[in-house]
Amino acid sequence: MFSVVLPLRAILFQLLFLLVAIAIESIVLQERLNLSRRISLEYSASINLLSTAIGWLFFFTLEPALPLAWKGPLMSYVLFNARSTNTNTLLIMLGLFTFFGTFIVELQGLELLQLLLQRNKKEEATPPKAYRARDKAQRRQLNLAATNRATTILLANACSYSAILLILLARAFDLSFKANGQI
Amino acid sequence: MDKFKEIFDTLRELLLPPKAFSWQTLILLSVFSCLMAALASELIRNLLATCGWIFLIFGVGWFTTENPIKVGDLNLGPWITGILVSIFLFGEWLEEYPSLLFISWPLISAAIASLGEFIGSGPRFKNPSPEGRQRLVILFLSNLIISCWFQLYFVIQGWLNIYPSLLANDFNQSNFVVRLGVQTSEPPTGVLILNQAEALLRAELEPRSWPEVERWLLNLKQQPTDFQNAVMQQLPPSEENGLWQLQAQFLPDQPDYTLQLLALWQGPSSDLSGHYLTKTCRITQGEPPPAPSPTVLEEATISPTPGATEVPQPTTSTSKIECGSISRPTLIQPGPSLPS
Repeated sequence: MFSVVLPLRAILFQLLFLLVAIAIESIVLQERLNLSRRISLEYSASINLLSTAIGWLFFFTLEPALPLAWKGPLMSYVLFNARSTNTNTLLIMLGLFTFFGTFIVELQGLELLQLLLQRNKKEEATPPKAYRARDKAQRRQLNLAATNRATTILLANACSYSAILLILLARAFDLSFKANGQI
Repeated sequence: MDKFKEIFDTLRELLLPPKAFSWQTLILLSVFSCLMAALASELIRNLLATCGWIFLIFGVGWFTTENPIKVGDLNLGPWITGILVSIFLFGEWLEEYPSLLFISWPLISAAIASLGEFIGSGPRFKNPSPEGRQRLVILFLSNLIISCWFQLYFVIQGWLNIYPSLLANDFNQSNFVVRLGVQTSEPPTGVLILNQAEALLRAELEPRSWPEVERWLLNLKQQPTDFQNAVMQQLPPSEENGLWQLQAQFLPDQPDYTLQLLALWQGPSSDLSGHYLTKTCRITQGEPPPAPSPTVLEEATISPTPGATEVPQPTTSTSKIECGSISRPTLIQPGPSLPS
């Protein structure tokens, strides 16, 4: 009897979420870091792909080590979308954890990327001229740029996560609606 | 005849190298290596086959660079060459580690696709420009994610191999997977457990006389765990067995001894609470044995005719076991109905 289980839905959802996140975060980067449209899009794509890949690698390292008591609910959730209250609590905590994890990875990723491309001098927001006079002010300005970058990434993440959450909620409502319709 | 010649000419044009050094040369070399490999002895064969692969890889790589196969702006060439490289490197382990080939494919392809960024005019090694570096970052990360999708498939496949009973569930609600193909109707392990239980029951009861049968059944009623463990131990070993539980219980409002065997799935399922299969066996007193005492009868039947054991039960045994067919999987209702 031929039967195969493919993670096609996961792939489609991931593509959708990636597109949404890249689009939204690129807008935030463009607005807040004074980047050109193209560069902000490239930055946003890079850091989002990076955080997704690291998330997967994290999952693949962790999954074989999970005890059966955790694996059961994981399998139920992944294969059948069956969740107990415990699983729901865990999912919400996992979501929060992922949010901050993504923030840290994307922030580091952006720094690394700018280092790799060596474009930071040209493209970074040019601060007001008044600060340029002294050395001390220059350091402060660098600090300011770093803070600005962190706030920007945080804001960008908040926006993209909200959008994804809306999509997930819509999906959950759709599913429960269908389930009720059948009964 | 002209038509034939025309086809031949086109073929020759396509296959024969226009210059001494071209992709056609490499493909021909590869074919030649394979032909020679078929004739050669063991050691030489491996060497020639390896050469054949390498020629093929470079030939295809060259061909796809000269005639890019494009979908939109994306040149698929590196991915075609990439799968050849993956098969060449990891094809031998396809049986043991099938994931290796698929996971390496996108990464190898990305490496092939990135070659262009490192080769300057000359040809000479060049440090990629900032734009090139940005392209490389996105190229590698996106292919890494494709590798992760392959790995996800293999992780899920691993679950289904260890716990085949998962396949009895409904996958429609999942946010992650779709199921293609036919839905298997019954979980095989549950059926196996119930059939094993019936076999053990028959093996235990058939040689006994009716009073002994009744004593045995009483014992079963008081200590069902012994029987349950014995059945579970006789199953073929599988990771999944730990998630199945066998329960044997007597239905109270039935005549004679009506034993219900219940295989309970406690693993992951689409309905959280799990499901169970049942098989009901009725044990009644068979026809009383003919005049002499049971021991004499047994000796008498066994010694002269070896075929005596195949005679229908009622004549040789004092109990009669009738088992029904196995029920369809039933959901466990949250609440009182699950007897423990």
